[in-house]
Amino acid sequence: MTALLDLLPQLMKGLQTTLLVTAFAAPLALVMALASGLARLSPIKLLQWLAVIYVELFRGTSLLVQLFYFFYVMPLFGLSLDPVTTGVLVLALNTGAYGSEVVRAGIGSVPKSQREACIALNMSPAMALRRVIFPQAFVTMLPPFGNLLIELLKATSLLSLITIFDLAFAGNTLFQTTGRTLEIYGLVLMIYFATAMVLTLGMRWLEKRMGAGRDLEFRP
Amino acid sequence: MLPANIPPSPALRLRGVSKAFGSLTILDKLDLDVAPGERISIIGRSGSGKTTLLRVLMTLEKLDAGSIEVFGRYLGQRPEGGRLVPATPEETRAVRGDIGMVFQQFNLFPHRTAIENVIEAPIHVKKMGSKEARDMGMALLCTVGLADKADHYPRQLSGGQQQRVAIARALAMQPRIILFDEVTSALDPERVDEVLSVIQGLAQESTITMLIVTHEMRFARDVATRTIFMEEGLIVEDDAPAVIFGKPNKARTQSFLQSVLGRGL
Repeated sequence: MTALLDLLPQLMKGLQTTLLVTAFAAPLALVMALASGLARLSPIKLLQWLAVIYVELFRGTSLLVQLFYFFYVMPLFGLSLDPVTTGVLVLALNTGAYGSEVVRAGIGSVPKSQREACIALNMSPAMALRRVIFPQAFVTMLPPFGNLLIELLKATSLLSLITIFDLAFAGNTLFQTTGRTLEIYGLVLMIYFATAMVLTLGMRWLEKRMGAGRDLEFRP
Repeated sequence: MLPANIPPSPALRLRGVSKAFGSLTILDKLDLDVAPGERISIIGRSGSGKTTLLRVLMTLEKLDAGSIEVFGRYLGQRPEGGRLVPATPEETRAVRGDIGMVFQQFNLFPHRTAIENVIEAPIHVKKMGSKEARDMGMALLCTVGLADKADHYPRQLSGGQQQRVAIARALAMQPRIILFDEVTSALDPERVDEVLSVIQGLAQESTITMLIVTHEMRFARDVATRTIFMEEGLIVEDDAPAVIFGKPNKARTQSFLQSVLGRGL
């Protein structure tokens, strides 16, 4: 038991990096998802195309290769970033590309009749989107966003391959020095799981809070 | 002496209004003039074009041909070099502000309470102060008998109550013309009267111009100052309600009324 506790400080140090990268990448991914998702619905053709290229490029290639590309190839073009910045950036761009589809689907899920009500109230399309369509769409985006957030958390483990000392890296290091496969990977697994649970609960709470008017009882 | 009787510009002037979906003609070169303050009930079978007529007036559907003038201003179009060209969105909105609409399915905003539904557009489109908007919104909810439900979300209201909120919401924008599109068709039978009496009350107390598409024949007769019978995208008969419902001149009107009324109202 004490031996198990000896492993914890190292793993916690790794977890810190994992959480840090997730915390920075998630909001950035959200911004990318919203910007590109809305751009795809824009009447401006150029914006649509830029969004399509971005989404397909990042969905259509492997995250690991994207990491290697940004870390090893970009410096050849003069863009040299430290590993953590690279990790945050690539994870955000990758997750944002998937999130873009969530945004597009969410906006599309709001019934056409809501848009028509906005027209009957003489709102401009931009105002209708901002005040009526998006707030309703956002609630439906939350569950898939929750999925992506957990995907993002787990994908940070790939950062160990570009020299970042995250939770997975810490586990590997401990394994190589102690050889205690069972305890180490068991612990690493449990820590990932516990972290994911916390994120899931957080998203549930947010869904509840944002769902005003949706899950109320009928009281005529 | 003042110049003799210059006629006021009509609330609506439709000329050659046409709309087709694919090969199906919905509105067939329709002409219609509506004077300010008229209340027109529009009756006819499903698919006769009644709802589409309201939808083109609300700019929810584009015209294939023809023109619509609202109090003397072209809707969605602008004269240029002797013909009509599409107007800019801003021009369209400037004219569209005269028109409001109440929908069959209410179309309230589910994420907003009753009062928020009513004051959303006055505050954000008309830039009314929020205190002023709230006072006006509460007065309107009072008019439709729902002051006590102001802070309820649509989900918490019955269909009839939702529709009354929707009427208050349309009135809050102070339109000069209001369109009612089968506003009781989605309601339980016992909820129909509460909505119809709100519209009746509005008819008695205001001079707002109304176009009312309805399947409630008694209501169509009682609320209107004029009734139109439509079939296959055309206005078949256009007369006083007493004539249409009492002694229609066209055989097609007669046969329609017989089929929906049976022995009488």
